[in-house]
Amino acid sequence: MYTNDQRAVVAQEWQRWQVSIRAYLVAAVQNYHDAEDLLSQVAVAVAQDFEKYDPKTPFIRWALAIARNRVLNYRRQKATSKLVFSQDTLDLLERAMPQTPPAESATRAALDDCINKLQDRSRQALTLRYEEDLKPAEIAPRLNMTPTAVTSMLHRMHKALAKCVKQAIASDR
Amino acid sequence: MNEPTHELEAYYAGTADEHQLRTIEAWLHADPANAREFMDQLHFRELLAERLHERSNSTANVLAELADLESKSQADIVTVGLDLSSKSSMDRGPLSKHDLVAAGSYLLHHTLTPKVIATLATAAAVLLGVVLAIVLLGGPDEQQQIVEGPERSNTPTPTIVANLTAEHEAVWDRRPGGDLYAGQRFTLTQGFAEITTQRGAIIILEAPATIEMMDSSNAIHLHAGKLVGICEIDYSKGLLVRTPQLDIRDLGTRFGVDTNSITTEVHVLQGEIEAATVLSGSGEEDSVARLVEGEALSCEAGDIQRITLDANRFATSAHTHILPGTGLDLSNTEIDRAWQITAIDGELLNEPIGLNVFIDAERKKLAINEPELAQWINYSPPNWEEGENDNRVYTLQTTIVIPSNIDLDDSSLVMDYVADDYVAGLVINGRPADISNLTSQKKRKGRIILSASEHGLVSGVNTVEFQIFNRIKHIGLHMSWRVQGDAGRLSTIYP
Repeated sequence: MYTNDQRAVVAQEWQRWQVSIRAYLVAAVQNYHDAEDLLSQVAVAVAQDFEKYDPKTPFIRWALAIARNRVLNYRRQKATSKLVFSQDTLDLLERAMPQTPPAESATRAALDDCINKLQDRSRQALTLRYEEDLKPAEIAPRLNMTPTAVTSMLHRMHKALAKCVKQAIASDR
Repeated sequence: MNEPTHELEAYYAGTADEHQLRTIEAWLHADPANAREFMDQLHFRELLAERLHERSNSTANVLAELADLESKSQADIVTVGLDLSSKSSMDRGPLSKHDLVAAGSYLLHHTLTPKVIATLATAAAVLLGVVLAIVLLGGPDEQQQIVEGPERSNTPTPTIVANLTAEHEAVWDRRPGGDLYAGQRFTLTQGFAEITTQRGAIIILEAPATIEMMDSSNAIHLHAGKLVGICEIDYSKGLLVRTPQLDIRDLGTRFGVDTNSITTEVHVLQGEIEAATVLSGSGEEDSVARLVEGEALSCEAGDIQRITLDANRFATSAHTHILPGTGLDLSNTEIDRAWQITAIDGELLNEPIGLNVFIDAERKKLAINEPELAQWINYSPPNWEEGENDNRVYTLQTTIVIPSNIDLDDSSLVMDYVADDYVAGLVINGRPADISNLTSQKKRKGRIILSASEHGLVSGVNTVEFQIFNRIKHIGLHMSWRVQGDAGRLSTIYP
């Protein structure tokens, strides 16, 4: 394959997979900022080594191998922290990754509609959680709720949003 | 084992303790479906966060623009108004009511001079009129809930079983989307296509061929035509290719299938497969044959015959042409001398360091208004010791060309950026620009608007230096720039 073709393939594959890779990194390090930094490192490595990618193999496998190495380095640096999954669990999660790119464009398109359908209180919780990056314990006093109630609400809300998105995608087809 | 709701939420929030972590691990290992659910949720939340950050940023942009209104001329305010209005039709979606309420709240809590109010009415009547209307009328309708209408709830959700992952000169009877659903049937009339199943098996289809997606994460029904099945990772093993005569089950391999309504041939290019005849109509399997690398068989009316391998009949890749899309253009992935690190902590380097430059449309939508023009500049120094160059300020220098047809007296240089970790300073043609409002807040993303004439920008070549404070050794700057109020584009010089 010509170099430019190879670049284009890697570029497109990265585009399709980067959210999944970030999700894997978040799972691996339980820290969004560190996951973002690791994602940047993986992206750079993918870009620098694009010629080593064999398009006959699934891109996600290749990219995850790079991500795994970055996670191992990260773990070595943070050897004292126990607040990460075991290697066994990480392997399990890696195997649980989808083998084909998730339908992100449809999800993105449906998300706005679904968010707009949320009740005010849920939407407020969502704003506090994501836009202000607050933890449930910090959200609780803002909504005059207990942390446990906020946790339950966030859990239910995410499930409801995911269901709403799935239905919206299905009805569009 | 029940889903550990509270433990999972703690994990998603980044606050799980040791005990919660182990509870989640036990749940994950209890059933493979739990691990998939966990990864699905993480993925969904990443998309959600991405979406809401965009909203947050557009809110921030509205506020930033409004905050600056009083210091602007009438012409500037018109420009801002038009710019704000144009955002409502941009790809990232309209400013939401939430944005407008936030902007409206700002207005309520800040002094509105007669000049600003008058100008708002003429400059951005539609958008800001809505803001004010919402504020004055008491906010948006807050009573809506997620509606699960009867039509939707009664409609079974189609299952994505595979994706179309590459094509070469492909012509279809009806164009498939990227996602392929159980039950969909297509005919490839020309060219090649690559399909990847949910379990990662790759199927290269060669025209003319008719396929139907089966309700399985690793199967395809080949009604007629040729394909190559590739199952080179463990998870993809077991790919089933159903033809009118045979069920061909991969056992970790690469194999070719050529079928029509009467005959099916299977050629094992690598590894091993199992082929079972299917009695017409019943779907019941009859005789079974195992083939290893170098072997081939033909099946007609349930009768299996060994034949000579013919590997050359089968395509090996459909990757010569990628699907159109919004993918990155990595045409500048090499170290690029147009962007250089020229100093660290203010000390000039003897040998400037070239940076990687991507023309990267989609990685960060957050503050980038023109993603097709946005650049992602980054560097991970390979030879620096761990921690050696952390927490330093790096000077990233480049040059821009302002076309001569731009009237600098009426123009501003607008830069939208996302930085790792934040922009600590900006120097234009050797003169520091006052961006203290950004640097004091150590903002990771934002917009810088500089009056061209006041900041010494000239027609032709200009040198721009970004001072980026970096916490760890990966340095990144993602940005787009343009000249506001003029159609002229800036360009980066590539020597």
